[in-house]
Amino acid sequence: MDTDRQDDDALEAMFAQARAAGPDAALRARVLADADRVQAELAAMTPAAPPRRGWIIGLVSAVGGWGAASGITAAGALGLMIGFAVPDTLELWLGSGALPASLSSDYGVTPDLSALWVEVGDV
Amino acid sequence: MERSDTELGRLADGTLMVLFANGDPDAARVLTDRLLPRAYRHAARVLGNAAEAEDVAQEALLRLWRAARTWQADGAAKPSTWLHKVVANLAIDRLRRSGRSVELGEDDFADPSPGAEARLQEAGRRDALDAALASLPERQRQAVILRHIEGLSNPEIAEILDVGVEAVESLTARGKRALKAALAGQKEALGYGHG
Repeated sequence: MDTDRQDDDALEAMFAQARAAGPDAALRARVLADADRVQAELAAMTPAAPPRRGWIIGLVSAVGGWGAASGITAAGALGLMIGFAVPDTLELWLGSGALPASLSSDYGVTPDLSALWVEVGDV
Repeated sequence: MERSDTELGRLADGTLMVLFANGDPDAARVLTDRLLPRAYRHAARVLGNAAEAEDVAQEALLRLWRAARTWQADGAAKPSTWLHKVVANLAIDRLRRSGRSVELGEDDFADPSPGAEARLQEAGRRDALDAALASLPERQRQAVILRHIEGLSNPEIAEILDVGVEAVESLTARGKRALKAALAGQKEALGYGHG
């Protein structure tokens, strides 16, 4: 039992000595040089991107800023609305008879403009 | 710089890995100071050869740096466990390639500085431990080193060696018994004769 305890103590002392061992400064320097090299490689693989502004910001600045973008947007929306409304609603706005009957004819999409050339008395 | 060291010193290894990948110039230094001694000691005790241990430790750290790009700071893997696993595999590969997976080759831990009996005895004890470790089967050797020299927990060792926790307990117990048996006849010579 006593011998077993001595063996344990001796082994533990040898383990403790092994724990105290460490790498020398030259190895540490080589490892840090490797780290520098790899870090440089990583930086090269992911180049520093310019600050991302997003495509909306880019588009707005390309047309002259938010003020211009608002005007363009409003004009676009109005045009779209008129496009959908023509010709029936437009005729209502302008007053009955302002447009030839054929403009508000069956399809209302491609008005028949021939009436514009028809004069009274023509056959 | 001092403030930076203090702050970095408080960070977990995994966080330092991410900082390293993001170009932090000090993360590698802190990680090296934490992990290189462990990698070197592990390799040195498995291989019983200082020059080979340095090569293995350097290669293992190099692989760690390269792994940093995809490292998850909050991932399951701990850099220290990952590193020990790499060291274990690299060391075993070397032992097998050199045909000395059980027996130890010529040891080169001899202290170059002259004199000093105490240092000679220290070197003698280290050599004796390396020789006794080298007589153990590979897994026993790794388990004993990781448990009794590196102080890792059994679950960590199980992860490194890809075995169950019960197997680690068995490996370390049998390994320690075998070491004591191997060193029993050398106690006097190593200065452990009288308790």
